[in-house]
Amino acid sequence: MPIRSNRPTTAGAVGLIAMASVAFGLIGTGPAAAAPSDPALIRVAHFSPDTPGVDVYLTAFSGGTASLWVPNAAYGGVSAYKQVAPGIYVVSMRPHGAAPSTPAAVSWNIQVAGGQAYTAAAIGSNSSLKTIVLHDDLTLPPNGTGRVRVVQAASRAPTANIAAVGGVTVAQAVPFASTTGYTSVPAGSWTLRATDPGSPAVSTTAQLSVASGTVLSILLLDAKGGGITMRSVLDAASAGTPPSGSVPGGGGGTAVGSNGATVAAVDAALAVLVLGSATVLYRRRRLV
Amino acid sequence: MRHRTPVRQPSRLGTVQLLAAVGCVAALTYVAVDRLAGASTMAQRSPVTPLSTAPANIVTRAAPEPVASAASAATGGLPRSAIVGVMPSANLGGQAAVSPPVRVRIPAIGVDSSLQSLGLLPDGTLQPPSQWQQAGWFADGVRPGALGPAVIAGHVDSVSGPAVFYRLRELRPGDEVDVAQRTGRWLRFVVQTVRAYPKAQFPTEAVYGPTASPELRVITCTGDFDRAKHSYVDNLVVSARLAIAGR
Repeated sequence: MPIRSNRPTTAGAVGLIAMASVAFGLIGTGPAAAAPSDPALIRVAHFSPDTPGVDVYLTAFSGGTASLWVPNAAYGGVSAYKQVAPGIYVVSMRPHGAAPSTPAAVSWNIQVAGGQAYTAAAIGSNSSLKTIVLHDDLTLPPNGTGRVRVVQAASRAPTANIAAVGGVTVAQAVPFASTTGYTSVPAGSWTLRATDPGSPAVSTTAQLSVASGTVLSILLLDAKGGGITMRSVLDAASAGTPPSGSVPGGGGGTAVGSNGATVAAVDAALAVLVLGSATVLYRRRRLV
Repeated sequence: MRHRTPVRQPSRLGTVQLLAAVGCVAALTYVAVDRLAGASTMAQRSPVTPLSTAPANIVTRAAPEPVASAASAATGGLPRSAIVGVMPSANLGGQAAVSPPVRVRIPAIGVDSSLQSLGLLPDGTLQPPSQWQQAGWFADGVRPGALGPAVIAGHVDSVSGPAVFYRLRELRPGDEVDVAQRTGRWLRFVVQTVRAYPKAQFPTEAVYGPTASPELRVITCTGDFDRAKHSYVDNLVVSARLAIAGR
């Protein structure tokens, strides 16, 4: 693994409290849908076929503490998302088992905004390893569809096409060590076929189940025993057809009116008045 | 999709600082492990794990859904972070089936209710629970414990007094919301936010949009009561994230 930069581990007064404050972010109440102070989501991925397992460290750029984030991440691995406070972080990778004091093999910065999701990844051949940050779009896909993108991390396919048989194309002539934008795929079960237009022998198929309201990453990888393979990562999911608009929920029995009386009390008072009036009328009739 | 070119880390750090960082890495390891899994309350943290005996928190499994973290938690530990291993490309994208919910408990506000199944009304809105004192869950949506935002709704009051979610507004980040599955397992969700939204500007994306972990949206009404419409003007939305399963 080439050495790009080193010593991403900033130090400072050490403390769990500092780490906790970084990790938790700000949780508040307010009317905004995704407030800037909301936590961001970050995850890390290893997309380098000929790079052995790495230990991934995460450091807050602003004088934070370094922490081992994911030990022994291997080719094709994608971590779970981690909540962090918005800001700038340094992701660094060392060969698995290397002391944290040793220079990192690669490190790169990632700037994250509240309410957004990101994937930091090392991709490509070890000799020309690229560090990238993907902005993951976890917003609601159009009704009846899922959102799919491709990470082309198969060195045995210099370029790749991926398409659903009888359906949409999700990757067209995508070179090794690159990623595609998102494509909307109708919900359903699809046969996904990956081919290398320059080398017909290199291909693979897989069944892809796309649920409405989900976001998926398709990973094209070198297979262990030769050839290429595909797997998917379910990045995020939601209800296929979410309810529209607001939610009804209350009879008003404890609602406070402008004068401080509850709605129920006002209603009761009104009822008494109406009943009372009726009774009076009834009695008057009787009397007449 | 945005690509960012790698930025060199300024080499402004001295050896002393570096050594200090090394010293703290071991102490902080457990925090990272804990956070990765989305188990988010301080109280649930395990003791410090020295780096030398750090748990092997790489789980190779067939599918990436965090449902599996609930399963791992059933063994007594916290859900572990997971680097998802390479899986056979036989069937991509699906989620493992999750048992439907049957009961919700919110200890902080004394809620303990069975759950009615709720669907969508012809106009696409969520069917309100038919009982004042019983909460419901959106059965055509995400099951609690599966990846995504599961929805539980209940009335704040009846026409004459408090209903099942009358005290929902008292919840604070860190409070628990527990959901029993039909299998008998309890899932624990931890409150992240408590927010009120005007019904007229209900943020569908924030409440129902995709999430990257199993989450819960517990919804009721709040704000002023519009007597003409017989309806409250605001929705109260409690967002919670799966923390741990099993009891």
